[in-house]
Amino acid sequence: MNRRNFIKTSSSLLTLPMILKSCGWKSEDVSYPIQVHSDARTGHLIYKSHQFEKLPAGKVETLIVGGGMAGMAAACRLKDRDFLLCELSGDLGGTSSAYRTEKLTFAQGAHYDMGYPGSYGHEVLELLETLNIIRYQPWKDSWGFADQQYLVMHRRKNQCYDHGQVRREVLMERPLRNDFFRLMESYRGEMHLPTRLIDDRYHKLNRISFINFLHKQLKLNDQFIRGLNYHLKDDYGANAYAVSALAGIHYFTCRPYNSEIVELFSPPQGNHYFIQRMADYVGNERLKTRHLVKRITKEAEGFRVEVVDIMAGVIHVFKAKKIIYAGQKHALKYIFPQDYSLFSANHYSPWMVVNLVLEPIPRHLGYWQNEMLTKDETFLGFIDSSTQSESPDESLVLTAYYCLPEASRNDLIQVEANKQRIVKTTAQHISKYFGWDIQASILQVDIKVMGHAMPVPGVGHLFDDKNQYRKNKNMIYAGVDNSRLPLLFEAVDSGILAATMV
Amino acid sequence: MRASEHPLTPVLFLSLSLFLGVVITEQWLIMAYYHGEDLIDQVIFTTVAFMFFAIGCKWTGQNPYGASLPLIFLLLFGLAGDWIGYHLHRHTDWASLMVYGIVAVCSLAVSVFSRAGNRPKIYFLFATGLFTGFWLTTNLESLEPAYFILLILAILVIRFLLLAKFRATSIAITGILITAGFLYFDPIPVRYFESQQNYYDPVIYSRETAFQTINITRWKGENWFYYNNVNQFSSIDYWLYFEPMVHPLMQLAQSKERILVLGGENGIIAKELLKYAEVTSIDYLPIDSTLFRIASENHHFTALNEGALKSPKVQAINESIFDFLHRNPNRFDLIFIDIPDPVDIELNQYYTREFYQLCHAALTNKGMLITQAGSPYYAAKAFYCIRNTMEISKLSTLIMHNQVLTLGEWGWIIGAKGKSGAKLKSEVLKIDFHSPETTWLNKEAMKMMLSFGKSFTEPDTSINTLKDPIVYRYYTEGTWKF
Repeated sequence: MNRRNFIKTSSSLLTLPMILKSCGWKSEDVSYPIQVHSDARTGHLIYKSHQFEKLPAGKVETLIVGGGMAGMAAACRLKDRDFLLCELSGDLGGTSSAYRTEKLTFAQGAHYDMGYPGSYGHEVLELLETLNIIRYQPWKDSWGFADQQYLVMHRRKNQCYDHGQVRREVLMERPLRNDFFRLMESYRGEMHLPTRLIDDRYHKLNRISFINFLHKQLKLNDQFIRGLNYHLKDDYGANAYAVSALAGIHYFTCRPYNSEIVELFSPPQGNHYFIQRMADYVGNERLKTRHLVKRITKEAEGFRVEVVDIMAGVIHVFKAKKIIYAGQKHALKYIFPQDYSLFSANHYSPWMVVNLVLEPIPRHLGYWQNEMLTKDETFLGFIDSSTQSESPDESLVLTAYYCLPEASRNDLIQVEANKQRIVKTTAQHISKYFGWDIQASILQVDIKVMGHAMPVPGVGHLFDDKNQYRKNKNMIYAGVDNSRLPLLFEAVDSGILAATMV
Repeated sequence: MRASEHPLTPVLFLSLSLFLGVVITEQWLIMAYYHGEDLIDQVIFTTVAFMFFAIGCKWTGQNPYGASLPLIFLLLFGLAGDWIGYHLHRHTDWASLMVYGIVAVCSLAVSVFSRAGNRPKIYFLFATGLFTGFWLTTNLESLEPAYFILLILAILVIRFLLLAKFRATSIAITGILITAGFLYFDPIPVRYFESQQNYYDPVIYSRETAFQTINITRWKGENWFYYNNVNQFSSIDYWLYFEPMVHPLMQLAQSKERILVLGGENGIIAKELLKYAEVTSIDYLPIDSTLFRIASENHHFTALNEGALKSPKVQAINESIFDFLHRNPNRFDLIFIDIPDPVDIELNQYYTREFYQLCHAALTNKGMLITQAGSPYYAAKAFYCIRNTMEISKLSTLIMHNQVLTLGEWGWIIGAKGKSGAKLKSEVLKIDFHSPETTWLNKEAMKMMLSFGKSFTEPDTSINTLKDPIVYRYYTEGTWKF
């Protein structure tokens, strides 16, 4: 018989920013291992590299800085030319990284994409078709994914949990919801990807905030704004007050969500799936991981690039004619200071991804995205791997997402010290959702900390490609933090565009 | 059996009270299982228990042998309470009353062991046992009331051995306990499903797939199949649905070698198709592949589809239907489309112009298809919109309907290439359905299925497309008006 087991957790769990503010909770004994991946120690590495030997490493036509989505797209387009790509971490992917072992695979960052309408930018569509990721569906003039086993069933797509209540959607309140979507509907078919294809007449929407735009048209209430904030944070790392009207409208109208079935593609490794395909396409020899680009200096014939080979403990000094800088722009401060001012207005939201690996739970069938609105506004809910695989004897992976305010970035150094507390709190949130305590089933935990996960598409962020103002025509900037929405399609497009500029 | 007579007596009494607590809490939980909510007031529940215990203490104190009837009830509910409750609840509309009755009788039974009367100690032990039993039952998943019978039995045996005094009551009780214990270990299988609270009849199978929840209930020996709590077919009259779906098209077709089935996970279409020797291959594209797998293996399904899904002629293809139709180079003689009603935009896809155009292209020049099209009376507008959509996709149509007893009035639409609708109709009316043999469908029945009487609705000319989905809205707005 199904006897209800009530979970005795205190109703006021600590929020993540509060946990991070404290340095080291009395460590609690947990039986499972917790691994933390963080780029917080890069500074230390740079300091240490002062003692490394500098070795001349020859010439390269194009050096790509950063092996995320943009850098990899550029590499694909430069496949037949002379290039070298340097990536700081041990694996490619940037914010689309993944944990992969023989037995276990899960996403540590961006975890899905959706079908592409035929009107989207052909450059990206062509590349993804070349990579065998997508194929054209003439019956609905759109592009669908070739690996159909990774499509998430429409009915299992999402469920929202709001303070103890479960419902289908985050935004439920009628008639406000209807008015809102009617307003959005007037932009249907106009909000393309990449955003550079959006018609000039909509550019004014980039100059006001989404909330101000909405206040002019609708009578919003707090509950509705809370739902909107949730949605926008999930995709843009910032709420309706911070993002531009264009970004907000784009979120709801870039695909025909309300009238058609939009394919939702979520492989277990998340968007690292795309990265793997790209790496297979260009070959691994020219993709250097654990290579930190430390300094770029302008020379008469191009650039002198100091690259720290972390494993070997040496610095390779390259002469590169051209550089595609697809890394995080805040690091320009140290790498190439003269161009930092181009990007100094960027804001980034920090993210933390907590992957809880649970023992197999027979017959468990969850929803893919579990949207949770709790007291901790940084906690966005979790992805349930049971919707990504039909095999019942695989471990269950629950991927929880936290989107933090910028103010918490410096506290991320405390994640390691507070990891047990973080896992416990996360598990308690999820236990409340499921109605049973998951803590005893946890086998291992993986925490990925990203201090600069998403550039916030705030007012004025878009339509301002910094490549227009660059002083060195051979220094080209790619990545979504160059005036783009923080979306896969934008990242790939920026990489392709950069490759065509070299 | 005076409470102070022997040191084990209070322990025995406490165990009995605990047993009572477990037994009546079980009944409470079974009721919650059936009715989905707690109909029982905890205060009344406790009051009834104490009241009848008090009455029992006064009354049975005089004549313990006469009180053996409630005792038998207590044992019965302890040993087979699950089973009794499971079967009783579905026949009653007065569930709470029944549970209060059980509480009363069982409390009376415990009082048999308290000849000491209204002494505070007895009440204290009673309350302690009762509430501990309640707490244990709600907190321990694997607790069985029978464990307590064994405990009581053990106490009694020890007591007899210590006293070396064989009393008639004790012998009788021990006898009953041992017999009952043996009976119990011939377990009566009772399976519980969370979905039971949605059904009046017992749920005999329940399974959640990524696409839907499947439930099978049993009524008078017949099985009713539900997907997402909507009845799909039943073992009583499934042929009223599947014979019209398969045989008219098969009899009409000149060539019936290569067949495509879209949806139709339950496999009954395959069973009907395999009655035709000319069929060489049946490609199956289920929407819900888990259900397809269940229907190939689970005996509730195979009893109806006769294992047709395991036939070497049947190939399951795990690909999205649109992609398959678009990419597959083979042409099919016939396509059978048995996809759930268009209740949302996801299912609406399979009733659109784009879909029928792809089907059209996948058919041979003389190929035909048939689709279920919901109820022509409940959602008339949706039914005729599907027909319009098929016609605009260059398929001549023929509409049919039938009264499926357990489902209601149901409708199908045949779509044909290279043959007019009138020709289809005249040909269908000539079929005599002699071979293969059908259960119900004959020439007369066919005539009835083609007659629609007068219609009250305005002829609708709208077309359902992927970009402008309307059938699902028409369907959900259904009102029985036609």
